[in-house]
Amino acid sequence: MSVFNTSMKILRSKLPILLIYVVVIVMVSILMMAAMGSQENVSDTFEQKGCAITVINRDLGGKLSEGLEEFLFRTNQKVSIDDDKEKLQDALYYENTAYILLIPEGFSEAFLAGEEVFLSKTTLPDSIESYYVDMQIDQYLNAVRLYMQAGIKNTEEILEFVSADLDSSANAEIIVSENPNSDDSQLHIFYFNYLSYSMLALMILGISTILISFHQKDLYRRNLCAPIKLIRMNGELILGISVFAGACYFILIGCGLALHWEKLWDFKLLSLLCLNFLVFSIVCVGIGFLTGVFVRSYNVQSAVANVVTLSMSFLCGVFVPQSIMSASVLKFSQFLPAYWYVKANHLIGSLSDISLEQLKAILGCLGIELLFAAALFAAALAISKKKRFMDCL
Amino acid sequence: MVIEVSNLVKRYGDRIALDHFNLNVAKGEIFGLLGPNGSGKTTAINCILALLKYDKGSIRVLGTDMTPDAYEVKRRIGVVMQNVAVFEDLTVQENIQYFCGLYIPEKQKRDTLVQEAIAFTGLEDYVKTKPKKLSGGLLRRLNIACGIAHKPQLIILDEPTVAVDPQSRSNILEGIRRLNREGTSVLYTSHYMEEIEQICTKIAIMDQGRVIALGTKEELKSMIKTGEKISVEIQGLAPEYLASIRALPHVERVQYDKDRLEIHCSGGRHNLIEVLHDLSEKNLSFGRVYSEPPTLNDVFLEITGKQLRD
Repeated sequence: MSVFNTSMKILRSKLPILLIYVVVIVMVSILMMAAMGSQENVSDTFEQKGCAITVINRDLGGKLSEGLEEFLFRTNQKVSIDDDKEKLQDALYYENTAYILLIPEGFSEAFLAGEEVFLSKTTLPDSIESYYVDMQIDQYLNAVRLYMQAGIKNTEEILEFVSADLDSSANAEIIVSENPNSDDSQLHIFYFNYLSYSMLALMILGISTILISFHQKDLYRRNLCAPIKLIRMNGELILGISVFAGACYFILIGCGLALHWEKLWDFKLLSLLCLNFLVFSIVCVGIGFLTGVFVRSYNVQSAVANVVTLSMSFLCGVFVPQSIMSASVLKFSQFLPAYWYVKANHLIGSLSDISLEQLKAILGCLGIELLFAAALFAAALAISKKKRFMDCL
Repeated sequence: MVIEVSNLVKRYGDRIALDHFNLNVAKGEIFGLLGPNGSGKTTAINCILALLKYDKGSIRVLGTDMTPDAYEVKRRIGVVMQNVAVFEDLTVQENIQYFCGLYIPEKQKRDTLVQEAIAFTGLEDYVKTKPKKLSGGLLRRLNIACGIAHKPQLIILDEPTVAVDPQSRSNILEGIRRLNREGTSVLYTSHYMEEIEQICTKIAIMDQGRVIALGTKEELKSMIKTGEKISVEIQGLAPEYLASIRALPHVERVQYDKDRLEIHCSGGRHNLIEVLHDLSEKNLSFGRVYSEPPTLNDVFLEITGKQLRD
């Protein structure tokens, strides 16, 4: 087993470089956990929230303006500021208040008389909350107008009805789905997506290191002088590559499980993700094999590893979610195996229950990954054979 | 015979690399294959090792037809290639272990042989060193250790001393002689005639893919007219004096260049005395005088009309 042992020794000499990619995935998963931990207290109840508002009511004694003011302060925080232009501007500048409503003098009387009147507002630039306050004001005044149009003349009666209407609420139950896109499945998807980057880098560096060493022209010819059959030599090399790939597969998954056992342990989800990762690992072996056949120098090898892993990760949605990528980029990405791996991960992550239809879509992605693997191995074997033929002329 | 090559023809397109090449290496010999770069030495070695396909002829090694799957024969051959073929990522010891492991499956026996090879090549202080940290000479010694560790019956060395310092070269040549004394047959190729003269018991001189002369060094030298080369440092020699020196008995060829007079003589016991006497008679003052026996370069020069290192 000289060839197998030597391939392991060659890998051992590259261990510090290879470990970097294991450390990367460990660090990324820890950071991801920390980020998710800060979002852990996701509420399963609804609570209406308001913003800090100031109402400058110049319509003193106006019933409608008082009713509107009272309604707005039910859900928003009241910030009292004197009716002074400078003070109001300061309050907005220092964000003490987000919304200043100015009710002009004679507003109630004019509104109830059906005249056209205007409320003026000053808000923080680009404040989302201000839209909600606008909606609340519209809601209140529209309700008043509705009762007025219904023929009710008594202002107090109208305001009572409006107040009662806007006070009423309907019960709604919030159902948090157990699986689809929950935080836990998001972690699964994120971790397994990121694994593709580490696995690809490890396979390109590891396998091409072995192949570059054994396929150096002089060394290859020297090996041919030895009493060892070519088929046995290749067999031992394949064994070495398989052991390396298997070790990387288990170490990368093992790291995630060891660090985040409670979050990641979900047999159904995990087994499908592991299957997808196994298929993608075969693709990575194919890419590593092809790189090893093409590349004959260690300097070129690390450049190829960086270019292939980073470009494939960016283009296929490992680093950036496929959902926010442009259609043209995604169309191009479909010609790369990592796209199908990431897609399969998302399909697995969104599984609420295993159905034949959903499984078909996932298996379709796995099938395409296997086709990529087959194409890569075929290309590598053809090039390798051609190169050897040229050497023997 | 440990190697029998007959009528070997190898073509690269229109160019003929080996032209009915014949070679017979007897057991216990150090057989030298001498020739300038491009004469076909390495092609011949590659054919003998079944690394190259050839167009015509036959090769038998250790009594068996040499083919790519002649594994039992390969097991008894040691190979030291022209270019150093070792793993950059392995240490000296690991490299020797690897190559020895291809021949010797038993670990205990292999470990002993590896230690012997390390001691033989004087690499004891470098066992944990990686090849890129070795000097050119040490690297060549490692290359040899990898080739001989399994104690083969026949060792084929293809220009093992290229780019090696004189001290390492001397160590390597002494090592080869030692291996031969222990019973190993050696096929040694080089374009350094001094090395071939120093260690080989039989020599074949190659040019343009053919063996143009074969024999011991004495036999080869006796094939040519030149018996002695006399060199005299002398200034301002007039052309008419050259004619008188040419007229001396046994003088075959005379050259005068850069204040150095070279006189190639055929056999004759008193050539040097006669030349010096002639110079004294003509009152020519001269500096240092050298007398050299013919070299393999002279043999090559006389047969092909060109220098070995042209």
